[in-house]
Amino acid sequence: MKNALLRDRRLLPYALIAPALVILAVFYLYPIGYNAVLSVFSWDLRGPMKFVGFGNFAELFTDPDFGKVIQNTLVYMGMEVSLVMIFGLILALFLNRQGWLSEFLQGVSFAPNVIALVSVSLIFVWLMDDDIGLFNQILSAVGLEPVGWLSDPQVALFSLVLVSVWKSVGLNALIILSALQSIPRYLFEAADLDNASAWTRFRRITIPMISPTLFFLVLVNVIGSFQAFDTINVMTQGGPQSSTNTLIFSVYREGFEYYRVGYAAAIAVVLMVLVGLITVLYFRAFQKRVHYR
Amino acid sequence: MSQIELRNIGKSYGDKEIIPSLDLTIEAGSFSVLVGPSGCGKSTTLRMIAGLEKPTTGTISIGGKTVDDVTPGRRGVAMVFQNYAIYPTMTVEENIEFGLRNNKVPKAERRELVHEIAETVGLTAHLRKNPDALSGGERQRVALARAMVKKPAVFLMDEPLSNLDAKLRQHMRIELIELHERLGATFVYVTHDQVEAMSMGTSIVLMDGGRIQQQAAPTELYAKPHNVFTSRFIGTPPMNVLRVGSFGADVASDAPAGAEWLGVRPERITFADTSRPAVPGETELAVTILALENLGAELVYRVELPDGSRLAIKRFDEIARPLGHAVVRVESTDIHWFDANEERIAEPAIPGAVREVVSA
Repeated sequence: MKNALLRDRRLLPYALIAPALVILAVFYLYPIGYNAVLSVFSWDLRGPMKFVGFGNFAELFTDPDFGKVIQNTLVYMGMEVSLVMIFGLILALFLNRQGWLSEFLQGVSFAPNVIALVSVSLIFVWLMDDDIGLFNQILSAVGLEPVGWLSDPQVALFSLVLVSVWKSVGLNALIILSALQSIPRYLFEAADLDNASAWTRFRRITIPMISPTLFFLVLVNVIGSFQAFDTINVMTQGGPQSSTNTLIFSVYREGFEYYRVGYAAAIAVVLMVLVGLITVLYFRAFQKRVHYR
Repeated sequence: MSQIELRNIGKSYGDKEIIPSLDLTIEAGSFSVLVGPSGCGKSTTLRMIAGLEKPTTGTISIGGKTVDDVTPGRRGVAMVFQNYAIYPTMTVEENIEFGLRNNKVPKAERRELVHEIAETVGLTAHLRKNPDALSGGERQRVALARAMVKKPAVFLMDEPLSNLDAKLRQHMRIELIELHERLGATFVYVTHDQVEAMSMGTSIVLMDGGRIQQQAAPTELYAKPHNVFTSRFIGTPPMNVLRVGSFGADVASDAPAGAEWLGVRPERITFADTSRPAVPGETELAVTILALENLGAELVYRVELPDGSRLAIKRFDEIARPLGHAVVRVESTDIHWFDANEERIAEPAIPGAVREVVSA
């Protein structure tokens, strides 16, 4: 006796993807929708919800600090993604050589990735301490001015980027490395016979051949940079002078510290639209230049 | 026109010796084919000429200049790879143009050369396409065009036809022969296929175990194989190589001193014409036909001699004979002799041949 659902050829595919659909709906679609609903209410998590229309958004866009928050978010993204990609590529090119040092470093470069980001942040708070931190001690040992790694508003955001890059560059390098190693050797041999210089080989063969991987990694890193939270929460709490306050941290602070749930939801909507917009623009700009095999 | 010389070339990977010591001269303008079973070192030799592998010992010169320290791109050679090695991220035009661009050829000249070559190999309609969109034969042409456009003195080809289907392969063989005639460049061609070697080469270099077994023109290689390996590599089916005694005491007594093996090509054995008795110099053998392959234009018999050894016999334009007893004839001039080391024993002065000259 077979189940009627399984016998119906038209329903069968839907039955098979149902479990995944349910998970998607419960854990992704419903929260997104609920967040959108919250964004037009005023609510403190306990009292009654009050409909305010676009009041939260109006408040948001008239807040003089909000522009700064968006700027922080975008600057953080720009620095983090470009540094991870550049150093990831350089490290991958180095690891791609033969020899025991490369093999050893392959393992080493993956190590930061298995440490929890909160632990990493705590350690860097120490290292970056103005007075007793290792960084400033080294600087003064070589006769340079100490830097207010986490206390100087001009520097703090960059310090957070540094921690994030330190943690994720190894993983990115390994993914790029696997792409490098999948380039057939005969292409480089053919290029040698075509008298191509090392730079030409890199620019005309290596980069195009790994472009799908680079394209994918940039996107993942962009989206990941919008989610940077642990470092900010542990190391700066958005300070000094809101210089490290980003969209995601504002959502957390407004929602879970000030209990302005509707206002936080409105920021989350802005964040989602921003990520969506950047992703679409990114695909438009680069997808045609990516070579898929 | 460039002569290629390899002197005392050795190649090892770690402890594994691929080529012990190789001396080879490839004549300028020749179509030289390096042929042999897989692992014989033919591809390694080609790659060393190209500069893609560094010889462990020895020296290579091209056109009289030592190239040991010259990068592949500056040796004046072009190479066609077995899998074509077309750059998948470039269009057909960019593929062909790449070498010229690296050699700083001005743009206008580059364009002219590329279009000229595209016309020659029939790729004009495909220049703007991605290589993915091409068929196997068209990709082959891209690889050829990419080599030709640089107008090299030496073309190196590593099994360039082995990825094509049989019909296209045959067609391309003719095209490559014509190309060689037209360009007059030195061609060095690696293959494991004896038919390609025989049909295309003006000089064949037969290799085995990292050593040259014989270097000769195709007809010479066929007529005077240096050793048993050579004799059995060329020809389908290969030469019959048997113990000297297999053809009976009469033949054995005619054998030159030191002969251990005798060889006869399958196509040189005839079925006895009973209306004509055997003449001096002809040996008659009673055999049993065990099997017959009918290949249309030719018939290949597998027969057994009284001592149990087997022979292949190839005949053309004859009616298939029934299995079972038969009598075959072999002319003594068609018998090749090899010594205990499987080396050819030099032709004994044939009295008949001398007489012919005298009487003429």
